[in-house]
Amino acid sequence: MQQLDDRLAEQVAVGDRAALAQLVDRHHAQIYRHACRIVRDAPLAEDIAQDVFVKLCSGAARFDAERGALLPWLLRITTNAALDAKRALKPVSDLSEANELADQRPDPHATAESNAVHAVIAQLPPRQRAAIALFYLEGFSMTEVADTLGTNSKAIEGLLSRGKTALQAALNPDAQKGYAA
Amino acid sequence: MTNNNDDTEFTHKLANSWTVPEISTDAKSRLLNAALPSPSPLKGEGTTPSPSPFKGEGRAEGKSEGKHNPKTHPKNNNARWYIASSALAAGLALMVFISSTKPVQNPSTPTEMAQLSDDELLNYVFATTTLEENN
Repeated sequence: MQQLDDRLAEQVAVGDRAALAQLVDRHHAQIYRHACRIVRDAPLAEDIAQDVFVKLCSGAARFDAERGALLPWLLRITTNAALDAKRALKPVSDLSEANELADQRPDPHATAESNAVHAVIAQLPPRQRAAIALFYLEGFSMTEVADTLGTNSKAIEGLLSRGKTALQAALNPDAQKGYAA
Repeated sequence: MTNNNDDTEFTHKLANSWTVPEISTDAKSRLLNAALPSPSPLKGEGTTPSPSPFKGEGRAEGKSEGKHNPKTHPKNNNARWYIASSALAAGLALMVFISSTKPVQNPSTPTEMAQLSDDELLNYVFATTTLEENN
């Protein structure tokens, strides 16, 4: 699996379009989902995923397989690109707020649990969303999350702990009611 | 161990609940074109000049790769007809313009003068008067 990625990355470095198509097939969906979880805006997440692969094409020669697998490397690029995109959107806050509000509307087809999770996620800052997605959904270690976000493990531990508490309340509302009673 | 189980259950629930919108269907193709653009959008297209003098002619339906002779291609005949008819129309327009600005008539007898229209007579009188004054 990892060897195939490494070989494909080498081929992409010399401009092999077929190899890039294979890498896109293998990882595009995951990269898009990760970007979407941070920015909470599907078209923007698609643009970010596209940028990640453009960066892969221009920087594939710099990828060192001995330092780690390709997918975590791509997810790190995605995280930084998504956080940069959120920062860049700050000046036009009306637009980003409109998108956030659109995302907060309950999806009639989603479960109550899913809507509750989205409501909690919407309240979290993008860095905390990124930390939670990387640690719980992408399988990064605490140190790797800290490296990706340019902070230390202690700070990440705090971010994750607070995020998890809030999300658990959304995922298990009955349990919370029980504790409260 | 309890923490690990707790984390696993939390992760599982979170993954199921933290859904994202579906990716658009053409996202992959757009991505490939942006990341590594192919030399031409269609295979063989655009690598040779179009045989027609009009941009875009002869490319329809991806037939530019075919073995057809550009000199006898029906689209080229259409182009020639278009050029010829345009030239003809321009010539006719020029003739009409020239005839409408014909020079002042110079009648030599009273009968010829009587045949002139009011405008032609006025032009004749004006031209004659100006010439005489100049002389």
